[in-house]
Amino acid sequence: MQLTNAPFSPEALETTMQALDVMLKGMFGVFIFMLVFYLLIVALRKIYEKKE
Amino acid sequence: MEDLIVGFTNISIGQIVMLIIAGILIYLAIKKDYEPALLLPIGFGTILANIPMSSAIGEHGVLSILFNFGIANELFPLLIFIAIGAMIDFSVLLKNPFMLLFGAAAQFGIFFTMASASLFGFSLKQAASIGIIGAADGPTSIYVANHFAPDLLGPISVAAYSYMALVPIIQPPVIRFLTSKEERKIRIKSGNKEISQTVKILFPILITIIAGLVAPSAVALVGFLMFGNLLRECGVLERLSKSAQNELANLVTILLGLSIASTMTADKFLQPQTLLILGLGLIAFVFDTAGGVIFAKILNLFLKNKINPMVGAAGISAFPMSARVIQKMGQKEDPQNFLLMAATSANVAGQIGSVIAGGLILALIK
Repeated sequence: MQLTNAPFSPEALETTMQALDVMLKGMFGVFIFMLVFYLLIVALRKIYEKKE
Repeated sequence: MEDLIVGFTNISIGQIVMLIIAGILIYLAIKKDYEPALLLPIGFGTILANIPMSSAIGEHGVLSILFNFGIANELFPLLIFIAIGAMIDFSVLLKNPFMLLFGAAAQFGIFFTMASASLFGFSLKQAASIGIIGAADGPTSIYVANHFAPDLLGPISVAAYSYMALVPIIQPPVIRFLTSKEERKIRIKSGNKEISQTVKILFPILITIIAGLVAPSAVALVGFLMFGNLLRECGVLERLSKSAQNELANLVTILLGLSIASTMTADKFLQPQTLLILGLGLIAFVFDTAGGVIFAKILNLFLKNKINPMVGAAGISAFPMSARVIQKMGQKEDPQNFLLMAATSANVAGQIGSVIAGGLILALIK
């Protein structure tokens, strides 16, 4: 197990910037997924509440 | 005679330390009840892996064979997902779908820790594997870590399962620090509308299709979890559902723990980075909790009916410990406050959220 970069080095900072980019996209993605699932549940409940 | 003492003469200091670590894991499993189903097999497997010239590891060693058969190709974590899916009752979440948002917010620790780990010199893939400890979900951690950084699998698994067991100790101080007494007393009205069987059946199927279409790399993770849930909810496969919840879960858990132990050799585990990984894992759990609580507080700025921000902390995947912690803390402030239903909904949402977060990390990092 080897560290790829020296801690807090310019290379590590560069990787951190990439990680922050993944962080933004990742958190946004999780929220979008959950929002879609929320809407899905609300729709399913509405549709099948009436039929059953 | 020399043949009989060859083990004693060849043992290294590192192997002795690993045997002590194995003893600690077994002690924590048996005496402290810390995730015993996983920590005990890992602990005992660590003994097998660190006996000098052990026949359990190496090209023909049974632990290595198990590792290649079940972890290297990600089979065991996925089979565990079927079992977990069969154990989860999504009804509570279907009654309170709003809680899904907390299942998203409480994944913050994963990404925060990933950024922190990269600052400490880990590559992006290693950092992502460390961050995923914050999924508070052992199989997801193993799945992602094996995908991106198999060398780190041992410490990541130990950290993930240990901190999951320590949720009742980790979460309360963070929650108390971020909330006022008045906020902790807020009562929540939980939905208790009955959910039809059709909704329960369609939910896992549609979730798999949506998640799979948006992030195909997440389809195995989400799909196996939802398949297990479909077995439970379909109503015609009770026998298979029970098998998934019991026999499958038990068998694969034994094999998973032993397989992980094959990576717990002194040369791989006794590195300064291991301590760093354990520390970062703790940070992941702390920031998961903080993410959920702070998100709830932000929502409260806009909501007419305020949410108890403690419920946000239950958005992590550690089920059902986190929900119980919130219920206990709520009742400590107000004995008539029943937060269990809302907290359980958030906790179940966290189980979905952690899998989605794991899938997104796999999709976003090439």
